[in-house]
Amino acid sequence: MDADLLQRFNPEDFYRHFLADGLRPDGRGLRQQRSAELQRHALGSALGSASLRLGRSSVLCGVRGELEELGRIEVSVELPPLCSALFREKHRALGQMSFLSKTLTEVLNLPSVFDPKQLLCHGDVSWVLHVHIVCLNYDGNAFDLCLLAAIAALEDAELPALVKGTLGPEAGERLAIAPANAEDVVSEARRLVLLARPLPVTFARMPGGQWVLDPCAVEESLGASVSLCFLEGRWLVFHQGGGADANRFLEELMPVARTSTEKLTKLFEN
Amino acid sequence: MAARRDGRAANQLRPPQMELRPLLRADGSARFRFGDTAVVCAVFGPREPRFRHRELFDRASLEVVVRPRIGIPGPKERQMEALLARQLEHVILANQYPRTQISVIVQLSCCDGAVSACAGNAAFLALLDAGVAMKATAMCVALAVKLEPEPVIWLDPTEAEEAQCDALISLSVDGSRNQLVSNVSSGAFLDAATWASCIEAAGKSCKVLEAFMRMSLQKRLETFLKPG
Repeated sequence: MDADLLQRFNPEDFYRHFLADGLRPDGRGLRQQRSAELQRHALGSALGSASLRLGRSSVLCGVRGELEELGRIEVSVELPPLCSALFREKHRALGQMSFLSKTLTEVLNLPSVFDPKQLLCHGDVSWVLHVHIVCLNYDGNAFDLCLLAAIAALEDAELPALVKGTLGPEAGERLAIAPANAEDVVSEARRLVLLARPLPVTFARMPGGQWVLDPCAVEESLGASVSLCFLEGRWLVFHQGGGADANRFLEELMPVARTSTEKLTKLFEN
Repeated sequence: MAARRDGRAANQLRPPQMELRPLLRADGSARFRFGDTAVVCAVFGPREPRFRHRELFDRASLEVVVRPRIGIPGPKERQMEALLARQLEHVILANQYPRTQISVIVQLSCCDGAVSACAGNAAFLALLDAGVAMKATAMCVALAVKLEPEPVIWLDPTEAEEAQCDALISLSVDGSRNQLVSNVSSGAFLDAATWASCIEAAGKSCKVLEAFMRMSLQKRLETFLKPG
């Protein structure tokens, strides 16, 4: 049979031929990541932004600030039908989107990751950072992609200086972004600091029972997936879709995950 | 070790309760309770898909709908839907029913903690009642982990306990093969020792739940088959 046809109609069998040789159809080994490409400050109008590419997957992330009472980070992830035909059905996309938004909001707001005190600007008013992530092209591994882009954008973000407002009836009580060289600033311009970087690693389970690192969309559709999120030797697990040996699979994946997070740290330091 | 408000031991489930076919017009239905948490689930199908584009030529497509106790479904329900769909896809032998659709409708009727675990069990029982072919028995439990002052794992937490704890984990275990079907955690990050004990506790209690389910199904079948 033609290779293209086999790939489309029987991806499991197609993959089995490759996995027997310890390779994947795109030429990677089982435990090899796609090359990551990070660009900081991709948008001029946002407080901070980043665009990240992982093979053919790419996302764009921007941070927008609003003044409210309780300082926090709010993440919203968007997977529009534009990025993949998988999300043509809105229902399916919504499940994935709300999972990612909720999980990333939780992870980034942890006290060991982010200190909300740095958002305080004047009195009890503080910044609420809305992190918007839009997937431009989806080829698997949304969790890693979105979390890495969010971290990069937050590290890139700079909070502007604020002065007391001069326009409108409640001018004295409102705050406005300070013009350049303003003197009576109530809140200084400053960069955001993350206390630690939570680093994600994702695996997918292939039909033969092997786990592959950094799966593409086809590999994700073949079976279970595990996303781990590391922070200082501890981790969270998001494992869905079954088939893992209860006691052993984490032990088997852990060393690979460690080397993979080391590589991700290098990505941020460049 | 901190005591639990309702006097349970840390590794004790609330009394489970199950009822098959509370709804007569669905192809299969079930009600599952953990103490004060109750979920009703209905299964329709395998039937012809309502929309042509949902039809898959080599297997059944699975649709999961979660309805909250009051109000309209929000992000929390959507997330539960996605999780349940992945979990059930592993269990159902979908390629036995090509070009059909199986709909699983979950109605939360009483929420007092461990809701997603309860929904998972109700969905499994409803599929069983509908006679859908499945390859594994996957029961679900929820765990709450409290890290301070010393790590404590509470099985099957109530809503009040969920609010007190640092991390929540919902696990689904296929007891006969000793395989994890799903494992979703939220809250604080955990270390290796805590993970190992969570997985062990979940594995044990899923076996207990499975035994409970087998026993009650057996009783039901005996009353079914009794003449007169």
